[in-house]
Amino acid sequence: MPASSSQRVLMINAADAAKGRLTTVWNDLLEGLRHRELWLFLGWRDVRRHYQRSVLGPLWLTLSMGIMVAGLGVLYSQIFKMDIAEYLPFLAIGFIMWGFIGGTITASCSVFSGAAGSIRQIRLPLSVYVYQFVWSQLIAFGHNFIIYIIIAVLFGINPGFQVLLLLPALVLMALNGMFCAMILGPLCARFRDIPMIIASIIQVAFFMTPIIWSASQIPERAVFVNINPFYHFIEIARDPLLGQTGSLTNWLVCIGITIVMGILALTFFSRFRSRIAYWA
Amino acid sequence: MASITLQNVSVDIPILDVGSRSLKNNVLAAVTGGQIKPTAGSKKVTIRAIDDLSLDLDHGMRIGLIGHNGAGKSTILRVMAGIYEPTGGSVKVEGDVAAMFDIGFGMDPDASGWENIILRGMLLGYSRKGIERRSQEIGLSTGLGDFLNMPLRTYSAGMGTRLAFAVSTSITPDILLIDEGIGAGDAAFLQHAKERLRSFIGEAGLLVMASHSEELLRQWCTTGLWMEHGRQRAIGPLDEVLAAYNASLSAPAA
Repeated sequence: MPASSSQRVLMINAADAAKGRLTTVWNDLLEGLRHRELWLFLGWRDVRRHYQRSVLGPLWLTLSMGIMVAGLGVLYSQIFKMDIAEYLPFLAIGFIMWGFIGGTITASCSVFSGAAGSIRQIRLPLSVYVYQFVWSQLIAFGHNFIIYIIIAVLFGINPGFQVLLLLPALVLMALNGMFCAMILGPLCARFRDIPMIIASIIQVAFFMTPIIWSASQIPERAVFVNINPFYHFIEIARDPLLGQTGSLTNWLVCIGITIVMGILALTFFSRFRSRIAYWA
Repeated sequence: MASITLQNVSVDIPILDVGSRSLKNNVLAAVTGGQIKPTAGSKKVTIRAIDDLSLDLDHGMRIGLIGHNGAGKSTILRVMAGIYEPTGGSVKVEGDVAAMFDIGFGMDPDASGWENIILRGMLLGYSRKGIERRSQEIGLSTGLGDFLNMPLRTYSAGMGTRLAFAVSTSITPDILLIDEGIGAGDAAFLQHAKERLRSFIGEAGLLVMASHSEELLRQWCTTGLWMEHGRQRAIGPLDEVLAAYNASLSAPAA
C-alpha cells in the first residue's frame, strides 16, 4: 500500500525487528540528522539552561576551568620544579581535553534516562538525543577552549600549521562520544547503578592519564601509559596545540578504538534501541 | 488518508524496580544460579499491557478509549504514536501523528512564554522559521498578554496549560491522540478551548482519545473502544459501549 509521498507512514513489525535491526538503526541515525535544527537548538539550550539567571552564563565553564588550571599550574610547576611557561600550557590543554573526554563519558550515561520525559511523549528518532548530547558537549568544550587561546597569547605559543590536526582529533573524540552515548545511554537507563561505576572509573582514569604529570616523567613505566586509551586521545589533541603532531602510534590507536567502538555501538544500539522507551 | 492498523499487537512492559535495575543483583543472580531470585523460569517481571490486539481504524473515525486504570489505554496510545514498539505483532500508521499525553511536557520553567512557544513548537516538529512566523498568532491565542514575557514558573497551572494547548493545537495533524482530560483551565478557557478543539479535531482525519470523563467522550467521540486487561472487550457506537461498560461497573456491586 504505497502512500503519497507527502505522507508519513510508520510501520513496525515485531517479527521483522530481529533481522531489520541494523537498517532501523541506520534509518534512525539518518532521520536524526534531518532533525539537526532541533538538536542544534536543544543542545545550546542544555548548556545555557545550566547557567540560567547567572550573570556570566556559560562563561562560568571557562572561568571555573581557568581558575583550576591557574591554581594547579602554579602549584605543580613548583612541586615538579618545572618552568611554568612550559608546564602551564601543557596542564591547561590536558585539562581542557580531559574535560571533554571525561565529561562526555560521564554525561553519556544520562542521555536517555535524562530525556525520559520527551522520549515517552513524542516520537523522535532516538539519535536526536545522542546528537543533541554530543553537540552540547562540543559547545562546552568551545567555552573551555577560550582558556587555551588566552594561554597561547600569554606565553607566546604559536603552534603553526600543526594546529589543523586538532580538527581530526576532535572528530575522533566526538565520534567516540557519540558511540559512548549509544552504548552507555541505554545501559544506564536499564541499570541505574552503572553511572556511579562509570563516574568512579573516570575519576581514577584522570589520575592515571598524563594530564597533571607528563609521560616523559616515567620512561621506565611506558607500558603503563601506553595501555591507557585515554593517553592516546589526550596526546593527539594536545600535541597539535603545542605545535607537535602526536606519534603515529597515538593516531593509529585512536582510529582503531573508534572503529571498534563504532561496531560495538551499532550492534548494541540496534539490539536495544526499541527497549529504550520502556527503560527510560 | 489517515489510518491505523494494528495486527495481533502485544506489549510487554518490564517492571524495573530497584532490585532489577541494580547491576549487582543481576550479577549475583547469574553467579549464584538464581538463588537470590528463586522465581522459577523467567528472571524479570513483565506486565502484558496489550494482549494480542487487532484494530483497524480508518479516516474519519473518532475513537473513545474506555476502561479501568491499567486496562492498556495509555499504552495503546503510545504504540499508535510510535513511542512504544510492540513486542509482538505489527503496527501500521499512515499520516502525521500528534500526541497530547502530558500537556506540560517540553516546557522550560525558567524560559519566558515566547521562548516556550518556540521550544515546544520545535519539539512538535516545526522548523525554527516556521514557529517564529506563527509565534505571534499562537501567543495571541493564549490570551496571556504581557505574561508571555515572564518566565513560565511565574504562571499558574491553568496559564501553563493554555500556553501548551495553544502551541499543540496550532499544528494540523492527520491523526490526533489524546490521553485523559485536557486538564486545568478556567471556564472561559474551556469555552475557548472547545472552539479551538472543534476545528483542531475537525481537521484531524482520525481521533483516538482516552478518558474517564463520559462527558468529554460523548462530546468528541462517536465510536467506543472498551479495553480490559489489554484486550478489546467491545467496540461499537459510543453510547452502546458506554452503556455496557457502565452496566459492568454496577453489576458486581449490585
